[in-house]
Amino acid sequence: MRSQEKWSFDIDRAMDTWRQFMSSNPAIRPADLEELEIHLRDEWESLISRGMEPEKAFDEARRDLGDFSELSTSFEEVHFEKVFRKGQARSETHVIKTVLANYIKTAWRSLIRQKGFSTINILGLGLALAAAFVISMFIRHSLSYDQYLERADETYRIVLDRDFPGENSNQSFVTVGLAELIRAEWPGAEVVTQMYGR
Amino acid sequence: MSTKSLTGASIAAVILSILSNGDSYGYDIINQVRERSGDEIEWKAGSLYPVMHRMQTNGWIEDYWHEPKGERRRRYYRITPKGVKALEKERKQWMTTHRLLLSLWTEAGFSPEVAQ
Repeated sequence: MRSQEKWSFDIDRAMDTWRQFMSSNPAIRPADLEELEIHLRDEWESLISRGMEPEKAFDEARRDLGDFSELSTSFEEVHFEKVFRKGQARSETHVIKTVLANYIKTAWRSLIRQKGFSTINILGLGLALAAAFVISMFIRHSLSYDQYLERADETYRIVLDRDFPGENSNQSFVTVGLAELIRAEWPGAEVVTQMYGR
Repeated sequence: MSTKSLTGASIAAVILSILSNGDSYGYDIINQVRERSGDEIEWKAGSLYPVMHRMQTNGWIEDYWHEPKGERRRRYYRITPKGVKALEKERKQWMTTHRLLLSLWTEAGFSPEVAQ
Protein backbone atom coordinates (compact mmCIF):
# COMPACT_ATOMS: atom_id res chain seq x y z
CA MET A 1 0.00 0.00 0.00
CA ARG A 2 2.75 2.34 0.96
CA SER A 3 4.89 1.77 -2.09
CA GLN A 4 1.83 2.28 -4.25
CA GLU A 5 1.36 5.70 -2.75
CA LYS A 6 4.92 6.58 -3.49
CA TRP A 7 4.62 5.63 -7.15
CA SER A 8 1.40 7.52 -7.61
CA PHE A 9 3.47 10.65 -8.29
CA ASP A 10 2.20 12.08 -11.56
CA ILE A 11 4.88 13.98 -13.46
CA ASP A 12 2.38 15.67 -15.78
CA ARG A 13 0.35 16.98 -12.92
CA ALA A 14 3.47 18.14 -11.12
CA MET A 15 4.54 19.90 -14.31
CA ASP A 16 1.15 21.57 -14.68
CA THR A 17 1.34 22.93 -11.15
CA TRP A 18 4.85 24.17 -11.68
CA ARG A 19 3.96 25.79 -15.00
CA GLN A 20 0.92 27.52 -13.56
CA PHE A 21 2.99 28.88 -10.73
CA MET A 22 5.74 30.12 -13.02
CA SER A 23 3.38 31.67 -15.55
CA SER A 24 2.18 34.11 -12.89
CA ASN A 25 5.22 36.20 -13.76
CA PRO A 26 4.74 38.00 -17.10
CA ALA A 27 8.49 38.54 -17.50
CA ILE A 28 8.79 34.81 -18.18
CA ARG A 29 7.23 34.57 -21.62
CA PRO A 30 5.47 31.47 -22.94
CA ALA A 31 8.43 30.38 -25.08
CA ASP A 32 10.82 30.89 -22.16
CA LEU A 33 8.54 28.91 -19.91
CA GLU A 34 8.32 26.06 -22.40
CA GLU A 35 12.10 26.06 -22.65
CA LEU A 36 12.41 25.87 -18.85
CA GLU A 37 9.81 23.12 -18.72
CA ILE A 38 11.68 21.00 -21.24
CA HIS A 39 14.85 21.60 -19.27
CA LEU A 40 13.10 20.45 -16.11
CA ARG A 41 11.89 17.28 -17.84
CA ASP A 42 15.35 16.56 -19.23
CA GLU A 43 16.88 16.91 -15.79
CA TRP A 44 14.12 14.82 -14.21
CA GLU A 45 14.63 11.97 -16.66
CA SER A 46 18.38 12.12 -16.21
CA LEU A 47 18.03 11.87 -12.42
CA ILE A 48 15.61 8.96 -12.75
CA SER A 49 17.97 7.12 -15.06
CA ARG A 50 20.51 7.44 -12.28
CA GLY A 51 18.10 5.60 -10.00
CA MET A 52 16.33 8.40 -8.15
CA GLU A 53 12.68 8.12 -7.22
CA PRO A 54 10.39 10.16 -9.48
CA GLU A 55 9.07 12.52 -6.84
CA LYS A 56 12.44 13.13 -5.29
CA ALA A 57 13.94 13.56 -8.75
CA PHE A 58 11.35 16.20 -9.56
CA ASP A 59 12.08 18.15 -6.39
CA GLU A 60 15.79 17.93 -7.08
CA ALA A 61 15.42 19.01 -10.71
CA ARG A 62 13.19 21.88 -9.73
CA ARG A 63 15.61 23.06 -7.09
CA ASP A 64 18.41 22.80 -9.61
CA LEU A 65 16.52 25.02 -12.04
CA GLY A 66 16.43 27.81 -9.50
CA ASP A 67 13.54 28.91 -7.33
CA PHE A 68 10.74 31.15 -8.45
CA SER A 69 12.08 34.42 -7.07
CA GLU A 70 15.55 33.73 -8.45
CA LEU A 71 14.22 32.93 -11.93
CA SER A 72 11.83 35.85 -11.79
CA THR A 73 14.56 38.31 -10.92
CA SER A 74 16.91 37.22 -13.66
CA PHE A 75 14.18 37.14 -16.29
CA GLU A 76 12.85 40.51 -15.22
CA GLU A 77 16.32 41.99 -15.59
CA VAL A 78 16.51 40.84 -19.20
CA HIS A 79 12.93 41.88 -19.85
CA PHE A 80 13.66 45.30 -18.44
CA GLU A 81 16.78 45.66 -20.57
CA LYS A 82 14.82 44.72 -23.67
CA VAL A 83 12.32 47.48 -23.04
CA PHE A 84 14.95 50.11 -22.31
CA ARG A 85 17.35 49.32 -25.13
CA LYS A 86 18.37 51.01 -28.35
CA GLY A 87 19.05 54.68 -27.69
CA GLN A 88 17.55 56.77 -24.96
CA ALA A 89 15.32 59.02 -27.09
CA ARG A 90 13.76 56.17 -29.01
CA SER A 91 13.42 53.94 -26.03
CA GLU A 92 11.53 56.55 -24.05
CA THR A 93 8.84 56.97 -26.66
CA HIS A 94 8.81 53.22 -27.02
CA VAL A 95 8.25 52.78 -23.29
CA ILE A 96 5.47 55.37 -23.27
CA LYS A 97 3.78 53.64 -26.19
CA THR A 98 4.12 50.26 -24.54
CA VAL A 99 2.76 51.48 -21.24
CA LEU A 100 -0.14 53.30 -22.88
CA ALA A 101 -1.01 50.27 -24.97
CA ASN A 102 -0.95 48.20 -21.81
CA TYR A 103 -3.26 50.62 -19.99
CA ILE A 104 -5.76 50.56 -22.83
CA LYS A 105 -5.62 46.81 -23.01
CA THR A 106 -6.19 46.26 -19.29
CA ALA A 107 -8.94 48.89 -19.21
CA TRP A 108 -10.74 47.18 -22.07
CA ARG A 109 -10.41 43.78 -20.42
CA SER A 110 -11.83 44.88 -17.08
CA LEU A 111 -14.63 46.65 -18.98
CA ILE A 112 -15.57 43.38 -20.64
CA ARG A 113 -15.16 41.31 -17.51
CA GLN A 114 -17.30 43.48 -15.19
CA LYS A 115 -20.29 44.41 -17.29
CA GLY A 116 -22.63 45.60 -14.52
CA PHE A 117 -20.02 47.74 -12.86
CA SER A 118 -18.95 49.17 -16.22
CA THR A 119 -22.53 50.02 -17.18
CA ILE A 120 -23.12 51.94 -13.95
CA ASN A 121 -19.81 53.66 -14.31
CA ILE A 122 -20.32 54.73 -17.91
CA LEU A 123 -23.92 55.80 -17.38
CA GLY A 124 -22.90 57.80 -14.33
CA LEU A 125 -20.08 59.45 -16.22
CA GLY A 126 -22.45 60.23 -19.12
CA LEU A 127 -24.98 61.77 -16.78
CA ALA A 128 -22.34 63.85 -15.05
CA LEU A 129 -20.96 65.06 -18.38
CA ALA A 130 -24.44 65.97 -19.60
CA ALA A 131 -25.10 67.91 -16.39
CA ALA A 132 -21.78 69.71 -16.73
CA PHE A 133 -22.61 70.65 -20.33
CA VAL A 134 -26.06 71.95 -19.40
CA ILE A 135 -24.64 74.00 -16.52
CA SER A 136 -21.88 75.47 -18.66
CA MET A 137 -24.35 76.34 -21.43
CA PHE A 138 -26.65 78.01 -18.88
CA ILE A 139 -23.76 80.06 -17.52
CA ARG A 140 -22.60 81.03 -21.00
CA HIS A 141 -26.10 82.06 -21.89
CA SER A 142 -26.47 84.14 -18.73
CA LEU A 143 -23.15 85.88 -19.26
CA SER A 144 -24.03 86.67 -22.86
CA TYR A 145 -26.84 89.08 -21.73
CA ASP A 146 -26.62 92.37 -23.68
CA GLN A 147 -23.24 91.34 -25.10
CA TYR A 148 -24.52 91.96 -28.64
CA LEU A 149 -24.08 95.70 -28.00
CA GLU A 150 -21.09 97.17 -29.79
CA ARG A 151 -19.72 98.86 -26.64
CA ALA A 152 -21.14 96.44 -24.13
CA ASP A 153 -18.40 97.11 -21.59
CA GLU A 154 -19.30 100.82 -21.52
CA THR A 155 -23.02 100.33 -21.45
CA TYR A 156 -24.91 100.35 -18.17
CA ARG A 157 -28.43 99.60 -17.20
CA ILE A 158 -29.73 101.21 -14.08
CA VAL A 159 -31.91 99.04 -11.88
CA LEU A 160 -33.43 99.44 -8.48
CA ASP A 161 -32.43 97.32 -5.49
CA ARG A 162 -34.73 97.93 -2.57
CA ASP A 163 -33.50 96.79 0.78
CA PHE A 164 -36.15 97.00 3.49
CA PRO A 165 -36.09 95.00 6.66
CA GLY A 166 -37.95 91.77 5.93
CA GLU A 167 -38.39 92.63 2.28
CA ASN A 168 -35.76 92.94 -0.41
CA SER A 169 -36.65 93.45 -4.01
CA ASN A 170 -34.83 94.01 -7.28
CA GLN A 171 -36.70 95.89 -9.94
CA SER A 172 -35.89 96.78 -13.49
CA PHE A 173 -37.55 100.14 -13.38
CA VAL A 174 -36.44 103.34 -11.68
CA THR A 175 -37.71 106.70 -10.61
CA VAL A 176 -39.47 108.83 -13.19
CA GLY A 177 -37.22 111.48 -14.63
CA LEU A 178 -33.91 109.81 -13.74
CA ALA A 179 -32.88 109.66 -17.41
CA GLU A 180 -33.43 113.37 -17.86
CA LEU A 181 -31.57 114.13 -14.61
CA ILE A 182 -28.49 112.12 -15.67
CA ARG A 183 -28.55 113.66 -19.13
CA ALA A 184 -28.53 117.13 -17.57
CA GLU A 185 -26.24 116.66 -14.55
CA TRP A 186 -23.74 113.91 -15.39
CA PRO A 187 -21.27 114.73 -18.20
CA GLY A 188 -19.71 111.26 -17.97
CA ALA A 189 -22.78 109.74 -19.54
CA GLU A 190 -22.43 110.03 -23.33
CA VAL A 191 -25.87 108.83 -24.32
CA VAL A 192 -28.84 108.16 -22.07
CA THR A 193 -32.02 106.46 -23.07
CA GLN A 194 -34.96 104.71 -21.52
CA MET A 195 -36.62 101.55 -22.70
CA TYR A 196 -40.17 102.69 -22.17
CA GLY A 197 -42.07 105.36 -20.37
CA ARG A 198 -41.21 108.88 -20.88
CA MET B 1 34.98 25.70 -8.32
CA SER B 2 34.45 28.91 -10.14
CA THR B 3 33.50 32.10 -8.33
CA LYS B 4 30.28 33.83 -9.23
CA SER B 5 31.97 36.86 -10.75
CA LEU B 6 34.22 34.70 -12.91
CA THR B 7 31.20 32.77 -14.14
CA GLY B 8 29.50 36.04 -14.96
CA ALA B 9 32.52 37.30 -16.85
CA SER B 10 33.07 34.11 -18.84
CA ILE B 11 29.54 32.85 -19.44
CA ALA B 12 29.02 34.62 -22.79
CA ALA B 13 32.42 33.52 -24.09
CA VAL B 14 31.75 29.92 -23.07
CA ILE B 15 28.27 29.86 -24.64
CA LEU B 16 29.58 31.35 -27.89
CA SER B 17 32.41 28.81 -27.93
CA ILE B 18 30.02 25.89 -27.41
CA LEU B 19 27.75 27.13 -30.18
CA SER B 20 30.78 27.46 -32.46
CA ASN B 21 31.07 23.68 -32.20
CA GLY B 22 27.46 23.26 -33.25
CA ASP B 23 23.93 24.32 -32.42
CA SER B 24 22.73 23.37 -28.97
CA TYR B 25 20.06 23.88 -26.30
CA GLY B 26 20.27 25.06 -22.71
CA TYR B 27 20.24 21.71 -20.94
CA ASP B 28 22.94 20.37 -23.24
CA ILE B 29 25.09 23.47 -22.79
CA ILE B 30 25.02 23.06 -19.00
CA ASN B 31 25.99 19.40 -19.38
CA GLN B 32 28.83 20.22 -21.75
CA VAL B 33 30.18 22.80 -19.32
CA ARG B 34 29.99 20.34 -16.45
CA GLU B 35 31.69 17.55 -18.35
CA ARG B 36 34.42 19.66 -19.93
CA SER B 37 35.23 21.33 -16.61
CA GLY B 38 35.49 17.97 -14.88
CA ASP B 39 32.43 18.69 -12.71
CA GLU B 40 34.07 21.89 -11.51
CA ILE B 41 31.70 24.32 -13.14
CA GLU B 42 27.98 23.83 -12.58
CA TRP B 43 25.74 26.43 -14.16
CA LYS B 44 22.18 26.99 -12.99
CA ALA B 45 19.44 27.11 -15.57
CA GLY B 46 18.11 30.21 -13.87
CA SER B 47 21.26 32.11 -14.71
CA LEU B 48 21.93 30.55 -18.12
CA TYR B 49 18.64 31.23 -19.90
CA PRO B 50 18.41 34.94 -19.09
CA VAL B 51 21.98 35.36 -20.36
CA MET B 52 21.07 33.50 -23.54
CA HIS B 53 18.11 35.78 -24.07
CA ARG B 54 20.27 38.82 -23.50
CA MET B 55 22.77 37.51 -26.06
CA GLN B 56 19.85 37.05 -28.42
CA THR B 57 18.89 40.68 -27.97
CA ASN B 58 22.50 41.58 -28.74
CA GLY B 59 22.17 39.63 -31.97
CA TRP B 60 24.97 37.21 -31.06
CA ILE B 61 22.81 34.11 -31.19
CA GLU B 62 19.50 33.03 -32.74
CA ASP B 63 16.96 30.53 -31.49
CA TYR B 64 14.80 28.03 -33.32
CA TRP B 65 12.58 25.16 -32.21
CA HIS B 66 13.70 21.79 -33.46
CA GLU B 67 12.65 18.21 -32.86
CA PRO B 68 15.31 15.67 -33.77
CA LYS B 69 14.12 12.10 -34.45
CA GLY B 70 13.32 10.25 -31.25
CA GLU B 71 13.88 13.28 -29.05
CA ARG B 72 11.63 15.95 -27.66
CA ARG B 73 11.11 19.34 -29.21
CA ARG B 74 13.65 21.80 -27.89
CA ARG B 75 14.71 25.39 -28.32
CA TYR B 76 18.06 25.35 -30.09
CA TYR B 77 20.49 28.20 -30.41
CA ARG B 78 22.95 28.99 -33.17
CA ILE B 79 25.74 31.55 -33.34
CA THR B 80 25.34 34.50 -35.73
CA PRO B 81 28.09 36.36 -37.65
CA LYS B 82 27.81 39.09 -35.04
CA GLY B 83 28.33 36.43 -32.38
CA VAL B 84 31.42 35.16 -34.15
CA LYS B 85 32.83 38.67 -34.04
CA ALA B 86 31.97 39.01 -30.35
CA LEU B 87 33.67 35.70 -29.61
CA GLU B 88 36.76 36.84 -31.48
CA LYS B 89 36.96 39.86 -29.18
CA GLU B 90 36.41 37.70 -26.08
CA ARG B 91 39.06 35.23 -27.23
CA LYS B 92 41.60 38.01 -27.55
CA GLN B 93 40.90 39.24 -24.01
CA TRP B 94 40.98 35.80 -22.44
CA MET B 95 44.16 34.83 -24.24
CA THR B 96 45.84 38.06 -23.19
CA THR B 97 44.96 37.39 -19.56
CA HIS B 98 46.00 33.78 -19.94
CA ARG B 99 49.40 34.67 -21.43
CA LEU B 100 49.99 37.30 -18.76
CA LEU B 101 49.32 34.88 -15.90
CA LEU B 102 51.27 32.11 -17.60
CA SER B 103 54.36 34.24 -18.08
CA LEU B 104 54.21 35.44 -14.47
CA TRP B 105 53.73 31.94 -13.12
CA THR B 106 56.47 30.50 -15.27
CA GLU B 107 58.91 33.05 -13.90
CA ALA B 108 57.74 32.36 -10.37
CA GLY B 109 58.39 28.71 -11.01
CA PHE B 110 54.80 27.54 -10.41
CA SER B 111 53.81 24.30 -11.96
CA PRO B 112 51.52 24.74 -14.97
CA GLU B 113 49.30 22.02 -13.57
CA VAL B 114 47.06 23.04 -10.69
CA ALA B 115 45.87 20.52 -8.14
CA GLN B 116 42.14 19.93 -8.52
